[in-house]
Order: sequence, then structure tokens, then C-alpha cells
Amino acid sequence: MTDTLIVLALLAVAACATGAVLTPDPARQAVVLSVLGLSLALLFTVLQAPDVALSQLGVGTAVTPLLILLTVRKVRRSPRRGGDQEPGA
Amino acid sequence: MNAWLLAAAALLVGTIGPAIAVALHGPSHRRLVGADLAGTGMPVVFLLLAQGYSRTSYQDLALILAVLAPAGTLVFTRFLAGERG
Amino acid sequence: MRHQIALALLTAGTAALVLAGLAVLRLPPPFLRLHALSLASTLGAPLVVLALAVQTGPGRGAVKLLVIGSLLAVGGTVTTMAVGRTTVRRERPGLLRGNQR
Repeated sequence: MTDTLIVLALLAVAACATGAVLTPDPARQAVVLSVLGLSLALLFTVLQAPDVALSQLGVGTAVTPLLILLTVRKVRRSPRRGGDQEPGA
Repeated sequence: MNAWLLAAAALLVGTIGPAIAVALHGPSHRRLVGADLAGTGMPVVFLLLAQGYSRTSYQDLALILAVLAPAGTLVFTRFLAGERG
Repeated sequence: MRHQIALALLTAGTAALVLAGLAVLRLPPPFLRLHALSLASTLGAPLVVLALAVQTGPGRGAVKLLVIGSLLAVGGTVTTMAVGRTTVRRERPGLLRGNQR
């Protein structure tokens, strides 16, 4: 039963990570990255490392997507590249 | 072996799997639906794992996630709603 | 006896959450999909938490579980509303004209 859970968590991490790599637009990638953080926390918990999972939860679900979204907003509003078409539209 | 771990595995297949599948397709606000479902299902999975492994301290993960996941989703909705201008 | 009650609650909650997952996959994308979110956060998660609290028995552990469950219910409701509003703004930009920030 424990091995089944480990395999399921590994599959979730593999799917999320592959999807995050294959997503070109950063705004969409931020959503995938937050789900990837959740999956990694699950993997660490299943492998009996809850303290690592705790730090992964803090960093992966809150801080990383927030930083990416702030950067995306800043870049899109900058005047030099402001005329670019939005890939996320 | 354990009904709690079995339920956790069922939730991983039946709820987290579709949430990941939704989070991997479409524009960002549609992906947000999958992220929100994962943010609801994952604390429940953590609670079930805590009961299944009989380690009560694992419940802290679910508590932290129950606070952090709505905050993260609210940040996402705020940014994505204003992105178009 | 208490274990049987906990198992029944656990089965119901797991069924609700799996149903929400299937609904998110099957319902058409823009708006109907949002209904599955409220099912998961207001019915599925509290049922599972209630099962765990019944299994734990009265005491501090059960109170902590119930606090987590109510946090999940409230947070899930709030995020469902926020996701719905963002979806409306992105899919039908003219609809909420009078309600803009």
C-alpha cells in the first residue's frame, strides 16, 4: 500500500514537471508550478519527510508563483516591450 | 492494508489526477480551476496520510496548506483578472 | 461502532471528492466546471474531516481536525467565488462592467 502511494506521487510529480517544461507562457506556467509544488510536498510526505514537505509547501505554493506573476506583470507593463502581443490572451 | 491509506490513494487517482489534467490545458484562468481543486483535495490527502501512518504531527501539513492554498489562489485570481488591463 | 460510523463518513466524503474530480474532467470548460469546486470544498472535505474526527474521539485532536475542516470549507468557498469572478472577467469582459474595481 505504501509503495502504491509512492508510485502515485511520483506519477503526479512527473506529469506536473513535464507539463511545466512544455508550457511556454509564464502566466500559465505559474499555475502549473503551484500544482507541482503541491505534488512535490505530497511526494516528500509519502517518503516520510514531513519537514521537507513543509518548507516545500511554503516555497512552492506561495512564493514561487507570486514571484513569477509579479515579474510577468512588470515585464508586460514596461514601455519598451509593451507593444508585444500577449501570448496568454 | 489500511482504509485511510486506501482512501488517500483513491483521492490521488480520482481527484488530484483530474486536477492536474485540468491544470495542464487551456488558458491560465481555466488552469486555475485545476489548481483550486488540487488545493482542496491535497490537505484532505495529507490528513488521511497522517491517520494512515498514525503520525499525528503530519496534520500540521494539512493545517498550513489549508491556510496557504486559498491565499495563493486569491493572489492568482487578483493578478489574472487585472492582466488584460 | 464508532469505527463503522467513521468508515461510512469516509466513504461518503471520498465519493464526493472523486465525483468532483470526474465532474471537473467531464463538464464543459468555461463555467459549468466551476460547480465541481464547491462540491469538493463544502461537501467532500468536511465529510472526510468529520470521519477522521469521529475516529479520533473527543479531545484536542478532534478539535484540531474540525478547525482544519472549517478552514477548508471557508477557504474553498472564498476561492471558488474568486475563481468564478476571474473566469467571468476573462471570458465575458463586458458582463461585470458596473462592478469593476
